[in-house]
Amino acid sequence: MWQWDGGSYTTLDGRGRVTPYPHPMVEQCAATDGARTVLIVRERVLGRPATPAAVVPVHAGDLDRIIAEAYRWPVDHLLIEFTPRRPLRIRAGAVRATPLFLAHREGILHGSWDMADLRSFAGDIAPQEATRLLIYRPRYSTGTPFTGIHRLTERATATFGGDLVITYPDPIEHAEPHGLATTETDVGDGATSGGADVLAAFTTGIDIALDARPIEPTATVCHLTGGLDSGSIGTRMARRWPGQVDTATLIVIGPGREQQIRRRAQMRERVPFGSRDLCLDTRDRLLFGPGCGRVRGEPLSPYDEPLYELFTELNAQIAALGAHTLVTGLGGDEMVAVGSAESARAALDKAQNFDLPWLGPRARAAIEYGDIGIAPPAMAGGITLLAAETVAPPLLRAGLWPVHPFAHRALIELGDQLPFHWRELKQLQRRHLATFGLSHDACNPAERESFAELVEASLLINGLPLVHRILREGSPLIEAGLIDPDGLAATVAELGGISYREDVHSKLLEVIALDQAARAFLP
Amino acid sequence: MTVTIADYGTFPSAFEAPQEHLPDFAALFDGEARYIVQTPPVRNDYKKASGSSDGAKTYDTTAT
Repeated sequence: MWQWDGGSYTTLDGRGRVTPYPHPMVEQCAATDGARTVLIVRERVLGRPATPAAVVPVHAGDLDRIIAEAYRWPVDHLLIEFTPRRPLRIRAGAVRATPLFLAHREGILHGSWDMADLRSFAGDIAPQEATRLLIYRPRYSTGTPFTGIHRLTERATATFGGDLVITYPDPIEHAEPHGLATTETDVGDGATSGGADVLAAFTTGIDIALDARPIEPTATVCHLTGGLDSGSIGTRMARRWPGQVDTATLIVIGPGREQQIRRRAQMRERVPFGSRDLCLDTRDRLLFGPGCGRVRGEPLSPYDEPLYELFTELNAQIAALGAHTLVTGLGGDEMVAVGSAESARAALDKAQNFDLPWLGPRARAAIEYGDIGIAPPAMAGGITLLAAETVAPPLLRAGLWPVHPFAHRALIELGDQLPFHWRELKQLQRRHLATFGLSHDACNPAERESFAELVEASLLINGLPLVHRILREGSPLIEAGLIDPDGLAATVAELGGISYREDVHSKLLEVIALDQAARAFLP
Repeated sequence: MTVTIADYGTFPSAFEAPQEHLPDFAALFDGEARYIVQTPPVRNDYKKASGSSDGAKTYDTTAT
């Protein structure tokens, strides 16, 4: 029998424990028919008070309906079903605000949103997922770079009892782009009349996404990076809740720096954001410095961002404002993604070169199997899901709940159908921003505002010594045949004499991050 | 306090999923949509080639 003890669901014999993440945006409820018990942890929805956590006795027939209703919950949720003398089942919702990693030993299933909690279960390097990371061809799947640790992907069901099996759901079908109902007329400067309906639909979609959860504007900060995606969401939030939503960002270095500062200033001047604006300057804050958890050997997940340390600092500043929710522009790229068949430029951009000189024989052999065993199409794109599950743990550690409106079905289904000229170069977001009276410069930045320059400087100054350490002391990646030390040494030697090439050399980030994670996680 | 089945009588509303509010975009488009199953590259798509212009590509930049 399960009971709620005020912070966890526990079994009377003390062997079972489920501890929901305590947060105002999260609630939990449970029901039992005396034999079967269902525990549900879910994001709250707008317009409903938080649900009591106590285990509710229900009729057996109602328990089946409770499970069916849980499947329909429109935001993130997790359903755990216990049946005496049967394997337990855990099913994730279609919307993933957080990851859930699973591992088991001696008949006990362990799970956490923090992969480091499961460090002791990592057995060895899993070459397929490790290769995906090393070549930067991410795929949403139940795999992780470590055997013994699994990811419960969206709508997947984990069945555990003796062994753990994770079953994928059916694919979500997506609409293809097609024409708009109204004929658009070119009115110059790339703008068209008749396009207002698209912008209205975009605004409606953002509002529906924001209203899916009980957002408290004064306890919510939005990313305002200067990017078109966070800009689109943030400006709409400021228009809806004038003067209440504060903003936060990292300030980049490189050619886009002054432009980012200028454009953000204009957005904040013309649109009624909250008075507080957190700007963490990345100048003189190279990655892999002495304060970096990876360098210190802490068990950071290999999925954690290279900018993990900086985001952790920014998250702490956001929480110090009294906020408990962060709204991002994550998923905006995927909403208006342009396919290779639609654009020669897109095809060129997506052309990938996996012939990295440092790849070992096992990684080279694994490349062609990268799509084996991946999750079926979800409502949100695989990269959106992976990104959402990547940014969540550092936010949760700061007490912040992530909200990604672009991952909402309303915006995804709109983006799926929009014709090419609304998605090309994010025309949707650019035109949306223009409706706020922002300048051409603010809506159409000429320079790229990016962390590329920070990554380059970080690799050349702090990264190369870490690569030298790999060559000097060895690495689990070399032992696993995933990294070829001779190729890696040649690359390091090259970097001393030739120009840094972003498309190739930036992938050394993955070598460093995975090496550090393997050292920290593996026995 | 012990909650019993009799306290509810009917299906406990806390477990009912709310009606999902979704916009009707049908009038926005010409004709009916054709639906597909996305291929692995499409469903794991990203705007740019590999490389790391923005960390782990989880951050919003103006790169196009």
